[in-house]
Amino acid sequence: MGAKTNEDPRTKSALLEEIERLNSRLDEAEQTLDAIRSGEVDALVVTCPHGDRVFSLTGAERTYRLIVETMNEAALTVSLDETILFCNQRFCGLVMTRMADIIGQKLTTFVAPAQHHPLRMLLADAQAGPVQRRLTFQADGAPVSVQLAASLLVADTQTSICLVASDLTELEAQASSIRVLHEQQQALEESRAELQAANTSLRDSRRSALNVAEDALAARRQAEETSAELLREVTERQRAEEEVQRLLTAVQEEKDRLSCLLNSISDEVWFADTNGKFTLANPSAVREFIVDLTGPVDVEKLAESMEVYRGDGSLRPANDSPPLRALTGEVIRGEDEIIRTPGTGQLRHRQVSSAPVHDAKGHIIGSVSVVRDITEHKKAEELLRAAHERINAILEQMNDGFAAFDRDWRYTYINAAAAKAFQMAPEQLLGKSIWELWPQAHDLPLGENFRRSFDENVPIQFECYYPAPLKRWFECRCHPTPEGLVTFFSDITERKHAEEALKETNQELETRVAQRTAELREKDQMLLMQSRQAAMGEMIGNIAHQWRQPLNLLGLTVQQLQLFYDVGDFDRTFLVENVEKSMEIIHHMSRTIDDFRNFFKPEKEKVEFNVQNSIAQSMSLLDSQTAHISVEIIAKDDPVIWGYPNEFAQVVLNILVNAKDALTEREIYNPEITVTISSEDSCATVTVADNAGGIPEEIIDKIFEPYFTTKGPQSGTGLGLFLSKVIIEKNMGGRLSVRNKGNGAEFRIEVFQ
Amino acid sequence: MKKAPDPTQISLLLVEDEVTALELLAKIVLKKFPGVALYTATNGRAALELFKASMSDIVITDINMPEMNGVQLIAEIRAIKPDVQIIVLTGDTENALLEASIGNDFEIAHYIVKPVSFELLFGGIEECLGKTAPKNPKPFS
Repeated sequence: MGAKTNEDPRTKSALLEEIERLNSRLDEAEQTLDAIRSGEVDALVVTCPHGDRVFSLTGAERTYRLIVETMNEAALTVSLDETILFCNQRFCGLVMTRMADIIGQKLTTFVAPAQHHPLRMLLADAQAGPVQRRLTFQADGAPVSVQLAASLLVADTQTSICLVASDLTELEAQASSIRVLHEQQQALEESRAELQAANTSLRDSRRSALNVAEDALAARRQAEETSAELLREVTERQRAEEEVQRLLTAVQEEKDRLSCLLNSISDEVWFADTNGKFTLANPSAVREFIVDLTGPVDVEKLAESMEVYRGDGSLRPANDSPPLRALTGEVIRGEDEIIRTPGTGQLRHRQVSSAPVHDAKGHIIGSVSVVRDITEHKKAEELLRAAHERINAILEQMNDGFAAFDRDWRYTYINAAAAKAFQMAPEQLLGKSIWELWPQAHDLPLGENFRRSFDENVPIQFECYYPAPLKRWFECRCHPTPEGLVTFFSDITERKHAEEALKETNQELETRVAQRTAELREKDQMLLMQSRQAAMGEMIGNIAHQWRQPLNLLGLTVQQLQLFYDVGDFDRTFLVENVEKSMEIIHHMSRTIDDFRNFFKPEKEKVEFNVQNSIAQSMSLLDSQTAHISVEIIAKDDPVIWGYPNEFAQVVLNILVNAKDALTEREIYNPEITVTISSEDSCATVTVADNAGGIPEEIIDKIFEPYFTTKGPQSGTGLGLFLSKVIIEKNMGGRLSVRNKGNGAEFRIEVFQ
Repeated sequence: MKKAPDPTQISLLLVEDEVTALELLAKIVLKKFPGVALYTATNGRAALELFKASMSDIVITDINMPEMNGVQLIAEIRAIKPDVQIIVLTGDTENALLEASIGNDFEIAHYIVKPVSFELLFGGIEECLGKTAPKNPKPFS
């Protein structure tokens, strides 16, 4: 490269030399022409590629013309007053003016004004001898740099100056190109230096860059041959330069990225050279091993300085380190090692991958090792394994069956309880589809629920029966999982049977209870009927008693008529008197029977009724039986209440009869019954008090109970007070109570108005 | 009826707690048997006092009465005068007292259930009169 750099000035000088050579040839030709003109020569020999040619003097004029017209330089002659006498076509081309417009013109017309003076100097100098000067012509306003050679031409009568102008434009352009190339080359040199500094792993890129540079140089060499080609090459070179720049940028970016990656990853990265020394390690590696990598570190020595084991727990010799093995061409992928690293001082589980690094020619130039610490991973794996074992242990010991399915409904796990429930070994089930093993399940609630749980991704709990061959009831809970479905189930056949039995027993019990209830209701109704009949009987007894007296009187009266008639004392007055008496008795009896009928008339609707009237009704029914008892009625108020008047009268009658019975039975000397009617705060109160000595304290709490009676079996049903309480409290929403007061019992009826 | 007892006259005591019935019966008995000495009472106790004074030959009594009932009365007067003729008038066919009286063998001459039939009443009285030792030669017609 250095050698080529030195060629550039030579190229320029070569061009200058060529110009010199051309000038000298021109001089030579002019001298020849001079010689010919002055007759110094008769013929001249011109050296041509095809051998020397001899031109005789006679053809000299034509030859001269031909030379002037075909020469590559512009040629012209001017008079001493600068008028152009002659020019060739090349000059016309140079100043871009037709020859007719040139001849006769002042030469200064075609020279930039600033150059007029140098031109005149040149022309003046030329009269003394041939001179050369660089000048700038004007071609249609544009400057054209020329090397102008001038010499005095003395011919016959006039003296003129002959000028030959060499166009320097192209030459200057070439020189400019060469200058640019110079600069480019310098840039390339700099690029090359950068490339050399770049990582060895990027050699290919550099090589391509160098190739480009070389191409550029080759192109430059071509440019030396032709100026047009040179220009094209320059363009290409610029493109190449841009490409190089782009590649360099890419390389730098790549390098930055790689560097960033190496600095940031938690994996350790080690580079070892062919001498078995680590030359590079990333921050993770440095941190873990606390190594000083400012100088190379011997791999083997580093390995010897710590405990290193293979994955199987055996001691690993220092020379067996993967970075060293990689240097021999071995590729190690994910080899386990256990190291007590200086970094943490703990035994770390690591995974090492090492590979040799080759240069472009395939020679090993080092090894790269990547180490990943998988201690946590191993620990997690261990924990996971332990968890799995625990879960398995639990699943196996569970009483519930457990089965897991993959997404194609194949059994992937069966615990012992499940296998037992299915009466099969787990091996007979694993990997097989539930639908193949249990074809009936597909259309059972079991299958429907499984599919629904799976399709809708919801857990479902249900009970189902699986017919033969299992003939068992199961309680299932199925849960969808990413892998498929898991299901827990327990055999609830026994429970189901027990439930069925319980259900049957319950039904039986319910039936029996219903029967018993019906029986009791019937019995109650019978008792009620009995009670009603007893009451009826009592009432009929009352009617009989009530009527016996008036019937007796009526009988006596009627028979008296006949007696009086027989003894002759019968007259109309006597007859009328006795008929009136008889009718009075009959009307009384008629009223009595109405009272009884009303008393027994069933009441369906509540009505408003007067309490005093109701009590009077009761008293009238009892009159004949209480003749010997002093009955006093004290009406403090005259309340009207809402309810069933006959039932209310029946209650009062019941209490009065009880009082009468007690008074009679105990043979009270001065029997008294006091009925008090009062009203307070919209509550009507009736008290019935007697002086029969009161109710013994031991039975006072029981007298409202059904079938409780102190009377003999012939007179008491034990329902009177019970029904009275029912009538007052249930039917009429009031209260019936009793207490001993003074020398007797006091019953108290309270009913809201 | 407050007159001195006539030793020759047949004496009859009528006991009935129903006053109307008692008055009517007394009127009828006197109309039928004008010659008897008739005493009336409305309860057992009064009747017993009256009997002690009158030593009636025939007692016609109700059973169900206040103060002293018919059965007690019968027992008392039977004790005083064993040969007294007794006619019972009762409205209570189921009366326990009546049953007791029958059980006690009170030698009740007639047992008449109310309403009273004149035929039975008058026949009974006549029969009792026949059993009664005549106190005077003049018989009842």
